Amino acid sequence: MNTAAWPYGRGEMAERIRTFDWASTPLGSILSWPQSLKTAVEVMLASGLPAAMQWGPEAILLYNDANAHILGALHPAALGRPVFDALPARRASWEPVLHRVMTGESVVFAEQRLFINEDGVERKIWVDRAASPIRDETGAVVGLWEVFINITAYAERQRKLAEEARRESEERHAFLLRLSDALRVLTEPLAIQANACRMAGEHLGASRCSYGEICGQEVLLRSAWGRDARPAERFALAEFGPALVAEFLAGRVIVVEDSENDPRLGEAARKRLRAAHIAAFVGVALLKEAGGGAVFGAQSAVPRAWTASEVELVRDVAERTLAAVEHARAAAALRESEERFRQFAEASTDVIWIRNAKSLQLEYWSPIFASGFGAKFDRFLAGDHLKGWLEIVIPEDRERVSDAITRVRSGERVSCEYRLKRPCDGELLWMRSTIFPLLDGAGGVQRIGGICHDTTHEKATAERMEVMVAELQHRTRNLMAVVQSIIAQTLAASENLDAFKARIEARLMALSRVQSLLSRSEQEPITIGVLVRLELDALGRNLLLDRVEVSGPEVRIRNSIAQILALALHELATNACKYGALSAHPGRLRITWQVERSRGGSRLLLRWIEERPVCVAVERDRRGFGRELIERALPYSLNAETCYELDEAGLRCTIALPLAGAGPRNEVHEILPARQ
Amino acid sequence: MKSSPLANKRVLVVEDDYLVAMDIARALERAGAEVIGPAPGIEAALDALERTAPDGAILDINLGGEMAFPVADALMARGVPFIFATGYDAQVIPVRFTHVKRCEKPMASEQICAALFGAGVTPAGDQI
Repeated sequence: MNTAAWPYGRGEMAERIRTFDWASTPLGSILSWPQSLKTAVEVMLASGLPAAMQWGPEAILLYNDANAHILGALHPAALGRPVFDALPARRASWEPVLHRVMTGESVVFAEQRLFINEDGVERKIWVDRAASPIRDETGAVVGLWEVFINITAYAERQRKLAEEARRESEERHAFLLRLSDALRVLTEPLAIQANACRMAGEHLGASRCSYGEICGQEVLLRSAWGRDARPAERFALAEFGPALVAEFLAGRVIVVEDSENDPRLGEAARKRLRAAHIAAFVGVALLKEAGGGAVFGAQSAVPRAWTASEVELVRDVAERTLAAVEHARAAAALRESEERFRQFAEASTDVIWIRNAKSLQLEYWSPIFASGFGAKFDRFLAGDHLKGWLEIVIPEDRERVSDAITRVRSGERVSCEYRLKRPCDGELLWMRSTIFPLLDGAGGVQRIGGICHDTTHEKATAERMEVMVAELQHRTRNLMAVVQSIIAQTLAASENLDAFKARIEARLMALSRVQSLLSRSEQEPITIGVLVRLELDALGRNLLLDRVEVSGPEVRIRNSIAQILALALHELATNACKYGALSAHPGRLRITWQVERSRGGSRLLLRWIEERPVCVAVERDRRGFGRELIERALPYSLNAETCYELDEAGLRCTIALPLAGAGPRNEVHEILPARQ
Repeated sequence: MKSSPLANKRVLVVEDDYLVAMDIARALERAGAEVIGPAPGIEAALDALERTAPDGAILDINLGGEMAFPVADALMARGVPFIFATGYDAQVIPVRFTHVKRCEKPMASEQICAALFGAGVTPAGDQI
């Protein structure tokens, strides 16, 4: 055995290299080693860091004590052998490196993982590693120099920090998810704020958390959680000094770890924080473009180093809380708006509906729609809604309705009238619909709305009014013609104006009385009894009336014949008063009527009988207007048969009026139950 | 009498109200016309139209509740000129009679004559 003294030194590897049988390796006897190899071995053995060499084309492995440690169980067998024989597992990764270095390159690897065997225990270490060429006197690369720096402690600290950061981030996300879940179900802004403060405060382990709103230059705390929490507190932003306010307004999260020693805080702010037992805080303002905004912060009663994750969390909570509050407010506004619309629509007696403009399906209908059409309303909600609706519109009007819908779908506003058969009872109703487009954001027709008014009653009233107005015109003008005629005849028969005045007044009064009966006839039908009594009462001689006997059933007579009949009765009564049974000469007047039925139909038979005990000369007037009315006008206008007999015994006048069925002119009809 | 455009013309009066009918009849007679009727209803009017050939007619529209348009149709069919004497507004008159002159009640007798003359009753002489 060659007992060379070189390499010097007392280390294990120095000893092994000294005593190794190098002659049996490609390196040859240690005594023949070139200086470059010997120098490299010396430097290697002297290095406190793990180092190794691979020498020559065979890459014979040499290493120092520190490296022997890393090689573990492979040591000491690895010494003096070609590297890939000694460490076959390294071939794949190392061969390219070896090649690069042997062609003159230096290679550095950072944070590489190595497994070492230490006292029989496998251990993982982290190393930085550098490989570089070793050249001989001629400059040729003859070996590879490799050194390791064990960075395990550093790498593990870094990994731990990264792990912590990840865990914090995961925790933060888990917390934010819980927060979102908790806030989502709340509808009250105050409840949302209070929950956010409590959850964030508990999660951060803060002394206090608060949420506020920016009103102008002030912050108004709405909600707070924790020690000394005082919601509804108000403070001016300016109290925090210009530096912090600027950061605040720029939307940056403000982090104060120790308020007593933070140069950004002025004495006023410190005083205020001291009073509130705040030594550290994290706060952020979320400003809205429209002005105002929200403020959220976590505070600590003792100085605290806030982690990046905590700072991030404060911003996240602030954003989520503000979003939840705004969502709740918008939802509340929407609910109120919907409620307002609902109340309006439900109070309306008109049907209010909204259809989808494309499908025409009903999206909204006011309750009166359903109640107005009864149980059969469901048919409109099955299948094609418009088709169901059109089916109850009468066929003549369907095209008008569908045409209106088409026009509204193209953006027009349309009003249309149509008739429909109400499904619950088949009644025909007049409807007036105002239909209008409801536009989407882009101006397209998204829905169509309608207000549907039942005009049936209005239509009927208008028709009735039309008839009434025409009837009134007819009656008024006819009346004027009658007045004209009466004046002419009275004038012709009067010897002087005084006589004319007396007669014309009485006749116009009689006309006027029957007019008032006619105007009330809707409520009180005119009967023959009413006409007779009206004329007798008008005589104003009640005392005489014990000489009068009136009897007969109540028989209703039509308006169109009341006038001429009343005029005739007036003339009879006037004459009775002047010359007949009711004059100064005592007599009796019997007016009776009855309904006679014969082959030609029924007729009303009225008898006017005056009995006079004293004979009075037949007067001129009795050949006058009254007699003409009875003998000529009644037969002419009413198709009546009349008889007028005047003699010494008195007057016997009969008027037979054909009852209903004998022609429109003669309509005396409807016998009413007798009134006493 | 010679100066009246209605002299010796036969004029049918259809009017349900006796007093008004008499007034019209008297006015026509004063104007020298021969009055046919007066007829109080559609039947009587159509009867009179059958029996005589009037030169003109005055027609009340509402005859005791019945509209006198069948008489108007008969008059038009025979080419007899006529006027409506009525209390109604123009809107109740069917379109086929819109050309017929309308006198609103009450009328002065001169009005009737003028309207009838305007309606086509030829004056019975050269003088107007």
